Amino acid sequence: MKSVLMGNHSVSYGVMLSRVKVIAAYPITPQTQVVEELSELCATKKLDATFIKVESEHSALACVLGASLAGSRAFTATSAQGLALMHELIHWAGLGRFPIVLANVNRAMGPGWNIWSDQNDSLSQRDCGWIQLYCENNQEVLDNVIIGYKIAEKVLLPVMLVYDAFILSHTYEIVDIPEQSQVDQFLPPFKSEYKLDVENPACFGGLTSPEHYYELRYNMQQAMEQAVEVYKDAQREFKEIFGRDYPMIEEYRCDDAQYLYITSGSITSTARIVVDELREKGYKIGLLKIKTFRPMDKAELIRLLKGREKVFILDRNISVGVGGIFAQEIKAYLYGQKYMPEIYPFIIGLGGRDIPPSSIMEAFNYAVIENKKPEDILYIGLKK
Amino acid sequence: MKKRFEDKKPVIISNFREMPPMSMSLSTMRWNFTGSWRYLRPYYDHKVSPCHAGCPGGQNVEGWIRLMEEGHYEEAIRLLREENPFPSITGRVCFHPCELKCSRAYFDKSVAINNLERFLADHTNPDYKIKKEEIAGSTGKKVAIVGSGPAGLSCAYHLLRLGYEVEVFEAEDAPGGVLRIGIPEYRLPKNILSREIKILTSAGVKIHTRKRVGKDISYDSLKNYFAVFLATGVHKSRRLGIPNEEAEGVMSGLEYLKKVNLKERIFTGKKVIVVGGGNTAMDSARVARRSGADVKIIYRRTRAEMPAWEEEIEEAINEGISILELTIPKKVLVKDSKVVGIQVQRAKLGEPDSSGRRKPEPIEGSEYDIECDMILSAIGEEIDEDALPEIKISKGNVHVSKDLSTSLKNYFAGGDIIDQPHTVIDAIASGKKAAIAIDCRYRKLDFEEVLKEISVGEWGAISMLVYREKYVFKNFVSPTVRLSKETVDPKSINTAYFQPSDRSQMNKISLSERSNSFLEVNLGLTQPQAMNDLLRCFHCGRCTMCDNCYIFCPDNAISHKKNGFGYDIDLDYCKGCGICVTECPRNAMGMEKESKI
Repeated sequence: MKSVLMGNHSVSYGVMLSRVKVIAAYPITPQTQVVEELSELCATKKLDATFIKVESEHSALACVLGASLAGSRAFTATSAQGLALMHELIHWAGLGRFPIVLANVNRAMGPGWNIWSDQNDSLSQRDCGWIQLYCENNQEVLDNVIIGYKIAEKVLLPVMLVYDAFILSHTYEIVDIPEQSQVDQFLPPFKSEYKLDVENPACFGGLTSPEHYYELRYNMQQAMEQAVEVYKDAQREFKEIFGRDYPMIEEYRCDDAQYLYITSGSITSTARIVVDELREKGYKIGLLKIKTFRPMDKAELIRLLKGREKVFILDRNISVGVGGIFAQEIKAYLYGQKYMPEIYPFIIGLGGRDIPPSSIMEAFNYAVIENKKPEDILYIGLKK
Repeated sequence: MKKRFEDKKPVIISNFREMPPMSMSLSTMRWNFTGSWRYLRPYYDHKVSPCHAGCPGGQNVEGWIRLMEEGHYEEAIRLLREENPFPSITGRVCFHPCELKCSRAYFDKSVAINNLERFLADHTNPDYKIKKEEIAGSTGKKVAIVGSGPAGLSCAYHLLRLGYEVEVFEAEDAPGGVLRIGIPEYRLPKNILSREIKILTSAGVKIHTRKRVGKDISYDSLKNYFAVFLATGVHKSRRLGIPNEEAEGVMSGLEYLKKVNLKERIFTGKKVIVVGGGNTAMDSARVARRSGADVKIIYRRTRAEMPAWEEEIEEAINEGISILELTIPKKVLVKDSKVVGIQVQRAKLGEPDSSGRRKPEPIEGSEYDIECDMILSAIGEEIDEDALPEIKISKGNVHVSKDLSTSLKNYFAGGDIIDQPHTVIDAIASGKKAAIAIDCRYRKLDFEEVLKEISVGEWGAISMLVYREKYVFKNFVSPTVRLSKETVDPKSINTAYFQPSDRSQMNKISLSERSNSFLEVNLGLTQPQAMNDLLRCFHCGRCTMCDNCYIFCPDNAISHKKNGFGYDIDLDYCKGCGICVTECPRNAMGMEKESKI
């Protein structure tokens, strides 16, 4: 059924369709409507779930982890400082292998206090053992809640669903809400093998000596590596049922491209227009949309970059001291590979600064028209 | 999924494939005997509740409150009567020092122990009987008791239960002593008194009334008794020592109370002055007020220094009696040899005297007259040596040793004639102590050694129950936990586990019902009021199986006893962290060093 939904409500509907049993969340701009809508869905019995009101994000995630360990499918949502407040339990969720989904609306970290789109909040959690799914539009947001549970429950790693503040969270788009029966077919009820069970009691998260800790982390890395195939399988199945697909690295007009943009999130849509314009002018240019940040489909990435001339990575984030985080990550994968392109790492749109097509075009102009050399960090739109 | 647990065997993981995805237990930790880490050891401990130690009569207050809480009223009153034969009486007239010691007094307000005692006595079988099996095997000995006040009757009761033939000699028409002739009916109805005494007489205590020893029969005639207990009380009022004291209309408060209590014909004036600030003064004033008089109490110091109990003073004022503080009587004013007034002098408080109270100092030239037609003096009582045999007196009291024996062979003494507070419960306590001392002579026990075994707390209370179990019936069973002599310090109560709550207030009859009537003023607690205060008890130093230790133990080392009350500590696993002891709400646990190997 097609409907017009804001990004935040798309999350709520995704949660409803996933038949989540326990929700605990604390409202924060720009995530608030996720919680509002879920609370209403619970109150009107459209969703048969326990909605736990909490006093902080830390408690919210703690509740969700408890519920998950008790065998329930559980959900929470947050943004920026709220995610930061969860940080201790973000580790707990990852290292404890909790198959939950958390929706994070990308918002700049303060201070300076800022509620607009910026990826630093989610990317600063990248070492905690979470799968991160970056979304381009509201349909993707809804679909990825459902896909998120599918892969989380298979590999026992938590999934962070990430989408841009306001550009998606508060913007209405046409969204096709899937049929419940189809979702049920795709996502069976959560059956946890590792849970609190009075018949077979066990203690979770206890003291782990140096003798054993290392192997736990090794197994986690293995799980993240397996997640690549698990994601692809889930993707294939999702496409069969719903007709939509979200590859880990999506190609756009890449076939003969000499130049590539690499983007994530809603910037992608704008970049598609820039690519189209440049194609009309005769440039051989394409676009790669990075869908999953951890796990990365390394083989696919290398395959797609091999033989290209120049790649412009757009990062709406900055790891201070290094630069764009996507660029840093991608460069690391390419080290030692042959026939790799020149990498132009651009920082763009921090703190929600608007990114019109002209800004994206600047990257192309710099690298191709002006034929300048790449640097460690390149800035677009900096007031000079 | 297969059972994860293999008890008492650590799981060794040799490679990453055997590892579960997350850190989780794969077996119990039973193999890890953490008890070896311990250098402090917790233990359960029965300590002495402050109320128990604080009752001069040694009543196990916490014990009977617990039984009441559980609904076992008959057992509760039997436990109470192990120490005190007269709960109906003390439940009404005791000044309840137990409540001063109650830990709850340091938290909000003390538990209404005294009112609960009355509630218990009033709500159990009025035809209480001393059971045959409570009475020890006959000793074949006879004991004479001189005086049937609370000390004499308490001694009689305990001696009877210890296997003695007891004869009580009473000078008045009916037994009870001060309980009958001193305490007014509105505080202690006579039928209540008679009911309590009947329990003794129907079990075999013989009371000879109208037998004043030394007058109606001689002390010499008591020489064949195994022992004699002197408890004659103090009936001689201290004189005011002012001019015209012999005039008609001047009388001692004691005398007045006695006449009213015995329903003798007595003239009560229209304007009555009571001199004194003790309980006799309050009683006299309140009785005179009930007879329609306008009553004023004059007292040398201020209300704060009055020895009378606060409740009595308050009720006297409520009933319309005025108190003239810092007022010294100087002279009785007489006309036609009858009292027409009293001259008094104003005073101010000076330095503290030997009693620690500030001394009144007369103010020169402040004399004035108060009109009255009756003066009741109640400035203290003293022993009447004429009523006693030839016996050593020291500082105005019959001289007694630690075991209450006197200078006369086989003579013991107790109650108000010895050096102790003039209260009903202290009298009852001395009767009990004398009974034990007499029994120790019969059983050839060293009284001082016995005292150590049966003492309760540090303030001199003793337990008849323990004496009987240890030395008479020899059926003493040590509790499964340690029995400590230490009295619980109110500060050691973990008050985080208790909510402040209101103390129950007894209902009283209205002021209008009190005039021209001797109806009992206090109506006793209602059932809900009693329940409220029962539940306020902290049960200091006594386990109630609240499960705090069991819940908090991080090593699961505490378990419920398989059979019966209490917990077991598995010392194989207890690592001596002390959380159980800290979280015990009522200080019923202790910690000690592990013995050195």
